[in-house]
Amino acid sequence: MPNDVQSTSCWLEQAAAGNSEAWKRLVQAYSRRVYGLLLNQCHDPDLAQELTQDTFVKVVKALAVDSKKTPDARYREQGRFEPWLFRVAMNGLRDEMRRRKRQARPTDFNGQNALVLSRKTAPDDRPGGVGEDPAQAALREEWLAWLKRAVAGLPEEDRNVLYLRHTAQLSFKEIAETLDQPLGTVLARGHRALAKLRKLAKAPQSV
Amino acid sequence: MTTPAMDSENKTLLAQLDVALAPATPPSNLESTVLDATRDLLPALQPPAPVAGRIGVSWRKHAWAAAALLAISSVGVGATMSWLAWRDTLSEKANKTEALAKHPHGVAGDPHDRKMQSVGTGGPSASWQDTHVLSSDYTLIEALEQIELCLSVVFQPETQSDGNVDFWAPMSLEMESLDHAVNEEESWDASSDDLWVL
Repeated sequence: MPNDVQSTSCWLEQAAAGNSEAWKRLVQAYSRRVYGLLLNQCHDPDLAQELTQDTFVKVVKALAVDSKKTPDARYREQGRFEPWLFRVAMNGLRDEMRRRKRQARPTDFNGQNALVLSRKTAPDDRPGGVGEDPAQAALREEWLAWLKRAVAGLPEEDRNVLYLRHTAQLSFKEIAETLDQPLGTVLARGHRALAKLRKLAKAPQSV
Repeated sequence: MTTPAMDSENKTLLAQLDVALAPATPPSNLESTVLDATRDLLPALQPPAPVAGRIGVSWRKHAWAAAALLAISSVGVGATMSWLAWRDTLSEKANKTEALAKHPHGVAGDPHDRKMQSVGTGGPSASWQDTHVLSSDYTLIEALEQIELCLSVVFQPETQSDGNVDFWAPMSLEMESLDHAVNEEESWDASSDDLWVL
């Protein structure tokens, strides 16, 4: 992962000029996050890997086209590479989903059953230590699995914000650029997604 | 409205989301497959421009700059020369106009002027030499006319009772030498052409 935007810009500039080492560093820095974002949405490791590969193919093609159009003016990165990269990845996933006519939402999601477990045994947010009780660790894993499925059950607009925030690790400003939506809208959707998760966790029928 | 309890819940939930939604560990061959797929698509590495090429570009730029400077200089010199020539012509015309203005008789009908016209080219495009000759002639004529005028004032003719014409100089001139000369010439005969010859 690049230390800052400047190093990303430097790598992009060198990759656009044909530097394979700089391109390799970019792939190492972003491929895991792209893969994680795609996997969280499609729940298919093979498809996530394939779409990750397609995403970087599109990126390198964009660099090559840009380099051919303006040979002396290399790729001009303006600190918006990450939003653009994840937008390419999400658009690729959406296109693939449409092509396969398959929903990314998991079919085995049962929020109520998971919520019953979570309400009785929800662990705190502290990461498990070395000497953590195995039973407590198991409850924690179950809670995190439920939370993951709960997010997947949210409306697409809401869960995209959570994925981009917690999986792609983008700022809300970058999320707004990725989704091409106003910052206020993104913030409101993030807040609404958290409220829905809290409401699911406190739902009377889940007791 | 968000309460402190909700804030606490949100922070807890956000921390749990960070863990739950963290990127999954990718397959070990993810990076290699991506690099293999993109290796042939990477833009060809552009070698740095050779020094000779850079010098060539520099020389072309310098050549263009020199040509532009030369063109500007040429235009400037030409404009200056044209301006100087125009100024000389204008000066000549001004001199000629001034000379003609000083001569009240005009050009037509005056033997002097016709003579002077014959000296020069007579046209508006007279050269500097022609104008110079004209100016000299006019200066001489003017001098003669002034002398004639002075003489007519100083030596005012007066017809005497005996029919002779005497000349006297008015005292207001207070020119002793001139009075002396007049007194000496009191006996001059008015019919004599000596005075008028002068």
